[in-house]
Amino acid sequence: MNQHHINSTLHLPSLFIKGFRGIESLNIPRLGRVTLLAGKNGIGKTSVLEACRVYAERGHPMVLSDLGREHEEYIVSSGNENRREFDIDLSGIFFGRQLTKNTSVAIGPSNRQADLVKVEVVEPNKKQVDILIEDNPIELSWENVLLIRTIFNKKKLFFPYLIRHSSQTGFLVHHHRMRFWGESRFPVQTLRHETLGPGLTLNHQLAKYWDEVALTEWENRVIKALRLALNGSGKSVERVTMVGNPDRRSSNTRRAVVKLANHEKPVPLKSLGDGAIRLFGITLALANCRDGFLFIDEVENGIHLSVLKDLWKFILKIARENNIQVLATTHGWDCIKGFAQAALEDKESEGVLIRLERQSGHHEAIEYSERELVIAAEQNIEVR
Amino acid sequence: MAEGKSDKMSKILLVEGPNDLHVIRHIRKKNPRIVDFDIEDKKGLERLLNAIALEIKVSGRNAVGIVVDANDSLIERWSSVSKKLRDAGIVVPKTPDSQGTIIEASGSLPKVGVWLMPNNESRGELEHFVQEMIDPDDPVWPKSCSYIDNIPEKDRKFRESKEMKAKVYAWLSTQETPGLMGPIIGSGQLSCDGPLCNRFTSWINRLFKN
Repeated sequence: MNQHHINSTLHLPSLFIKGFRGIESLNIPRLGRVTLLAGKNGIGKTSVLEACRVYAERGHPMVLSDLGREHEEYIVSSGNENRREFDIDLSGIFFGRQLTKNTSVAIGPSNRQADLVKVEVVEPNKKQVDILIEDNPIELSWENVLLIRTIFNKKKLFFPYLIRHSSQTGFLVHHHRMRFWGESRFPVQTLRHETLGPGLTLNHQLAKYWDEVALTEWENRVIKALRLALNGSGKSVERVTMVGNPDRRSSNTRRAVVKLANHEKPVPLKSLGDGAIRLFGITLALANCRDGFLFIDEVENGIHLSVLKDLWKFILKIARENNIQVLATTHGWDCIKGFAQAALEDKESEGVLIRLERQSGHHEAIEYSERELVIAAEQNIEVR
Repeated sequence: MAEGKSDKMSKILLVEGPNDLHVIRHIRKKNPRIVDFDIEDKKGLERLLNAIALEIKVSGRNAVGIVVDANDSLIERWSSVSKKLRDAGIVVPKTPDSQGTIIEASGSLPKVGVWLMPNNESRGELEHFVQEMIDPDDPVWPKSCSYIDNIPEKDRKFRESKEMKAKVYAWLSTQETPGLMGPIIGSGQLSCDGPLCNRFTSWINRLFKN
């Protein structure tokens, strides 16, 4: 629990977000090795995780369309009445759903302007307009066309979409040739990252994660995590693996099975309860984002409060040893208390709790150090 | 921490111990014009000081009041409270206000008030404040004082600074509910109309009014 150890090796020692989703502007002056995000529903905790994901991908169009898909943001892009084509509506990425000239998103460390990932809506230059006209025999009013581009580390990448302004809203036109615009070597260097949603991780995802840990020392960590989840249940995990058909449509779908002491046959992981599945997922996800980020939405879901302290000790240790920066959202007081207790026992941990608030329209980050969280836990002072 | 935050949680008065809590609670009962607020016994000065930054940051908090004893040094106590407030981002005046210090809300920070017992001007503690509430014509008070004064130096186990506390407790032990300050205020044997008590209640009202 040493404040001085919060160091520059963190991928994001601080976080600045501008114009992203519901966040007009937010500055978090300090992130930890592990950062817990609290705050009311709808305040934008998940948006902060998503912003970090965009940062890890350096604003690549793929991560933005993934986010659009996850939020079910679709728009009719082209085609006639009989055959419509749908595209991802990227307007949801921008604050106020604005896809107009000079709208922009910026995400990155607070004090390093040069390290920001920016996504901007811009007018095409003359050369770009010429290519567009050549490539699109259909009549377009080119004055009304805008482009989206990402800038990171002085490199630019234009998105394979156009924004064409109709009378009311902008809409997108898919434009494959545009993927060759901008820097061919973009993005320069992305960071590994994994996201665990509030629900239980799906089998095919677990299977993908498992392939990274099979026959490595991580298998032992997975067993340790399962023992943690099943502590006090009388069940003793000996081994774990994944079996089944990799084809997701197969009825014999690939799934985790566990060898318990005193059981001759392996049992499905699913039969051991939500806590075991959640901890299995968290450990596997950690294994898959070494030197990167792990984002966990509603981290305490499925986990019994008696396990929370040890879970945090486990996460803090693995994150430190593997240079993983963890950001997790929570609503739970027990989860925060467990976090504080774990930090108290782990002298090297670098944890921070941030409560997001909205003050007269704009976002603010209220920071709690580990030391403060320990006092809050002792005196039962509300921090959420 | 109260589960399911009430509106009251937006205004909180932090005190050092149960006596402070009961005295203030009974003063409030006697004064219907005092605005509503929550009182929390922080169970000791150190715990109270450690909690200041956290209490200020509680979501939806509008005002935080702090009542602590000046004890042996008003300046020292002021400086220890000021330091905790400054750490929490509050801009604190150099010296306490004799009428009770109030620091207006700013940005996301709530309004903050500090009262140093007994009167923001001299050293002392809650009992000095309570002594001021005893009727000047009270027949027992001079007797309580001379009882303590007449105890020979060698038999006194309390420090000199605790002499007033000893006298007040000597007086309290002769009242209807011997020893308990709160109920004695409730039954009217301690007056809430004196200048010092009025100064305190007006500080409370300035701090917690909307």
